[in-house]
Amino acid sequence: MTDTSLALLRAINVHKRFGHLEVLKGINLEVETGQVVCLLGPSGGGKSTFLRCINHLERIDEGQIWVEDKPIGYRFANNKFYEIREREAALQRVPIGMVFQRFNLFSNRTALENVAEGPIQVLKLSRAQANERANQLLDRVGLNGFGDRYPAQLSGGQQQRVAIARSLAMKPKLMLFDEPTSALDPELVGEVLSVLRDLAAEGMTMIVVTHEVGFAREVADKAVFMFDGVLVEEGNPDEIFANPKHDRTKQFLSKVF
Amino acid sequence: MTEIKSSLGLSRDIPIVPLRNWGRWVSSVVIAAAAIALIVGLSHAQIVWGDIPKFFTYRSMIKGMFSTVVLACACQGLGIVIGVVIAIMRRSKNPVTSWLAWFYIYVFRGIPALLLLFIFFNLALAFKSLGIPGIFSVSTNTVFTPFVAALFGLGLNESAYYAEVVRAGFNSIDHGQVEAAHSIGMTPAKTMRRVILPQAVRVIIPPTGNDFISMLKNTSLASVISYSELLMAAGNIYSTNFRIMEALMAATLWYMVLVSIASIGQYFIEKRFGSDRSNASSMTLKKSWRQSMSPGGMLKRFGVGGGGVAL
Repeated sequence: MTDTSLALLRAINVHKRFGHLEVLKGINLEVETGQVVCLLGPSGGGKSTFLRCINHLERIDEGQIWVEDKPIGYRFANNKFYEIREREAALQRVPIGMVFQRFNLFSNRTALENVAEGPIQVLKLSRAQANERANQLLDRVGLNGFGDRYPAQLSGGQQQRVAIARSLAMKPKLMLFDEPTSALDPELVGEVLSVLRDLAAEGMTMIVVTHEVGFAREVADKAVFMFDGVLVEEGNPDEIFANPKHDRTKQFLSKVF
Repeated sequence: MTEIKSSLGLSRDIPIVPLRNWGRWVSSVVIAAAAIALIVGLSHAQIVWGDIPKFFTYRSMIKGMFSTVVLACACQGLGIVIGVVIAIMRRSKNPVTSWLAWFYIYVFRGIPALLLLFIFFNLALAFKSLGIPGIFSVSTNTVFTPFVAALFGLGLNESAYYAEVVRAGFNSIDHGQVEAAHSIGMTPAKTMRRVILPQAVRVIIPPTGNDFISMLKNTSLASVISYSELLMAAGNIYSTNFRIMEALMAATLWYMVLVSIASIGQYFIEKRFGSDRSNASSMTLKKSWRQSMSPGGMLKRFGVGGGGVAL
């Protein structure tokens, strides 16, 4: 069923409006398996909204987003798109991990419980299996021994790494990062970026909304610039950063560097 | 200048003068005088003090007390169940459902509890029987006994208030956590059960205790529809012996006892659910009481003792 010749994520003419405000004005984007795509651009340009649409936290108004062979928010049958219920949408989200700017850990659960929650509740793993997986993941993000801490007892960087582990626990095929370091103190940014670097090196398919241009340049296979809901330029990060074609990109990069 | 300089060098020996809280002394004296006046006044009152403990332990009084507790628990239970349902309905994306929930709260917060009791108690005047025509039917009078009328009257009244308490609890949860739950594939129902409710409970419990304490006392309204609770028991006593004040005071004592027990219960339930574990205060009831009420602690707050020498 899965056509391997197709990209893992295909966004086709995606529109999103909030009332009269059109936040996404026809986004087209393909992300291949194993690719790391960095979404760049000024705040309010629609980057986060696009990411949230991929995870169906926002319903798109026009266009399609396909992840593997599933149209997000719909069931495709009889050559028609049927809107799906929240319950089915939840299932669609399982292979798509999302990491938020504000971490959004469950504050009444320990780090370990945060990571084990999805495997237990959604994947129906036994508690022992889920805890084993959670411990492995905490280890992988450099938080061995922090399992019994509550979010309030962790630094921002540690919380964000727990949040990454929580997403990874669902064995996602695609990871979405929504400004994962924007809420962190400068000295904590590095520890989160290094986890992202490791993930990229292991071949995880990732879309990262970020203002860390240095990180994008180093890790991304593709950099994408988004302004006012329009995707103006995409390509190899080295090429784009060295010699941007679009005026808006030039302007933006001149301010960042 | 030189004085300060030299004292800096000798800071070890500089005494500290504690703040003398004169205002606290003055207000304490005023309060003490008022208390003495009250006691003197009461000693002249025409009350047979010995009757109060006697009435307090009357069989009918104790029966009334139990009826009060049963009714309060039943009403609070009904209020909680309906309140939670209404609060969840208010969150519904279906406009009809959320509007209905709003309307329910609007109506039952608007009607005085006493009036609601009368309406349920007199329901038989409007509807002789209840049921589905042709399938089953019962006489309204047999269903709406004083207990059931009081249960519905006080319970529905409470449910409207309680729905707002629960709603406040739901709103206290950061929406980001809800989105995070969705993003790992949790359904809305599961998110409610696993993420929203457990955290909302912490916010909801203190006002629940408050509501229950109110409910314990509001059950006295049920005496007007001849439900034999505590106040009615007191009334029955004084209607035979005319020791009105004595009987009322015995009832007062019972209400105080019940409210005290409820307060202690609330403390422990809050401790059980309220612990964030990350920021739980480890202070026990005994310790906090000792700290605030001990003679030493009290004197300290008047500025007596406590003076010392800086190190």
